[in-house]
Amino acid sequence: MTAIRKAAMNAYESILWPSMRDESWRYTDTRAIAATDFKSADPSTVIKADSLSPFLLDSDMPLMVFADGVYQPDLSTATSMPGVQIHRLADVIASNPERLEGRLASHADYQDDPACGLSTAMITDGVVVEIEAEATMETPLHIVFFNQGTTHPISTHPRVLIVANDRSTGTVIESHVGTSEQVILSTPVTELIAGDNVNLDHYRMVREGAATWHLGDVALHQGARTEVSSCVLAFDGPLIRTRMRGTLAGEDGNAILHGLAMGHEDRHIENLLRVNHMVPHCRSRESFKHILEDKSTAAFTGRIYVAEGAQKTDAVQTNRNLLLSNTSKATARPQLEIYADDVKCTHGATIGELDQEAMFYLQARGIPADAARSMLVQAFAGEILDDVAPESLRNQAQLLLRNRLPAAEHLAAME
Amino acid sequence: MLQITNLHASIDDTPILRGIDLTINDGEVHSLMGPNGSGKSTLAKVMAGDEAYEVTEGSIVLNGQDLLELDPHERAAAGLFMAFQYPVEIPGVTMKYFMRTAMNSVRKNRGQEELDAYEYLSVVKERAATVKLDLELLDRPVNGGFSGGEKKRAEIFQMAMLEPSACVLDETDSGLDIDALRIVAEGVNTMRSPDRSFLVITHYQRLLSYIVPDVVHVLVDGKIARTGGKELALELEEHGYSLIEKGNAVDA
Ligand SMILES: Nc1ncnc2c1ncn2[C@@H]1O[C@H](COP(=O)(O)OP(=O)(O)O)[C@@H](O)[C@H]1O
Ligand SMILES: [Mg+2]
Repeated sequence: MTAIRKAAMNAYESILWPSMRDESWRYTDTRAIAATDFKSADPSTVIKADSLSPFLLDSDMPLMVFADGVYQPDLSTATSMPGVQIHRLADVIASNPERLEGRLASHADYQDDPACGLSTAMITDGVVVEIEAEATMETPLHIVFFNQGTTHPISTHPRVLIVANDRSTGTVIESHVGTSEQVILSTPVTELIAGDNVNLDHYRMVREGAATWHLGDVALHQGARTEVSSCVLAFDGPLIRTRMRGTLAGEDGNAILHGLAMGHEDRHIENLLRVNHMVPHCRSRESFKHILEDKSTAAFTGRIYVAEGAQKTDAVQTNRNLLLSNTSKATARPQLEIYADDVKCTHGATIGELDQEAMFYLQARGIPADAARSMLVQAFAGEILDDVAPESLRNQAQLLLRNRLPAAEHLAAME
Repeated sequence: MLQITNLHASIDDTPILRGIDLTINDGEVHSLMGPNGSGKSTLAKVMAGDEAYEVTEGSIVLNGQDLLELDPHERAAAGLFMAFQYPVEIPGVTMKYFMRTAMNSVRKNRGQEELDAYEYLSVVKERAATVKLDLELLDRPVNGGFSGGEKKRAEIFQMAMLEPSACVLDETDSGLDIDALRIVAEGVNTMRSPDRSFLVITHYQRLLSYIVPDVVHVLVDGKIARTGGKELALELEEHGYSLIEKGNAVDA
């Protein structure tokens, strides 16, 4: 543990916050972050149940709650269940650090990224989930990282490690939320490690406060015949940057990586995606969608990497941007890096406005322009949201989307 | 009553409609025929309020209301319905959700009560039956992957749902086989009533043996070149449009 923290600190100190001249940080302005003097959160931080309630999902979903990275035992209901061990990371570090070896910080690359480097150097607490072989998680686990901050800027480094052993099934949902206007830097890192024949779904909902910079990582590593998905739903926060990295290390693996982000005001959204096809016969589907209003901006960089010998790779990557204002802006950089010859890899990126013919058709049927616009935006987002399996999470996302759109009352009455 | 007076419209500064006068009394069925490119669809879209076209002169009045003053959705509420020549596919919006939204918006705008779920469903079933529309299509995206016939039947279904007072059908017959054509025509005929008028746009006479018009107009080059009774359609079928294009005769 100490060695990892030290290595990460060295990495972080050697990079620090890069300038926009750095290729992978070209679209994210880190000057304000670099100029801020962050402190760690007070370990006695507590939050009230009331502040949490707008962010909760099903009442019977087991919960792990952290406030500014500090565990909240009174609000956390999750306990280990048959076949599923759920622990605080701090407890595992203290009592069984060997269980983290070769797992924690082994897939989220902290060497080349300051956010991940800082996060890894500062590892203190978070959640470790281990699903035993053959086991099925009966209900999704909901991990809430509530950020409230204090009078001086703080940084928080939420950490999640999910290990799904052979033939296991499970769903984990993270919510990164807050309503405060205090300055906060959050660098959540989640690693998902799936053995063979695993079915694992992961969701990350981002609804940060108005001055919370969110620089996150999701790293997936999957074995043979797995189906692993991760979906980042980014609704609120001045800066939401996610590095998602999937590695298909066993044959017949299937990775589904999705993202939906809605930007407004002068928010910036950045998604950096990389999928590594290391072995033959794997499939990956990557779909990232950005809806941009006002002066918001989004940048997408997606790379499909196919290693030598990874024949019959089947990868499809898309990034679609819907610009709802003249002042919003999107950039897409799809990249292929292929060292095998018998593969099917496609990528496509679109940046466009609402379809005017569809707008006219809806209006000609009596639907007012703002409602028509909202319907088309919902349809655009639907391609991602329809695949969100936990119903309460899907409903929450749909509601967030709808409330952001004009004529919300009008549409809500329709269903 | 639908009254179009001296209507001029252009796209990108190119005049397409060049002075159209057309009055359709309640209960009447008029047919608008004419060669490809003469401006038939342009007229239909201008009536519905497509912003791609600029109206440079003239007026369109429906039951005393100046349609050109209204937004497209307000025209629908005012009683206009235009069945598209090319119905638009809208991925991600189900036909069901679309129809319900349209229905509620139009009713609200007309000051009518919203139908409750049971009433709504029974109206859907009844109107779908008039054009033999498979109810399963309602779970699909709007026009998504519909066959040509399904698209046109869905247009007439929507028309039946929204209970307009003036219906403009833009080449609803194109791409239909004879059975589908008969179904669509029957659907339209059930909707004929003394307080509803129709403008049936078609390139061929074929549809008019099923929907028999009171008046036939021929549009050539953005102007009505000739107006007559239903026998005019037969005449055109026999001689083609070349006669009128050359002669430019108007007998009203
Ligand atoms: N969107 C458009 N852009 C440019 N020209 C158009 C457009 N729509 C129609 N036109 C032109 O207007 C004329 C009339 O077209 P249209 O109304 O579709 O005729 P019709 O329906 O009688 O076949 C044609 O010459 C056509 O090329
Ligand atoms: Mg036409």
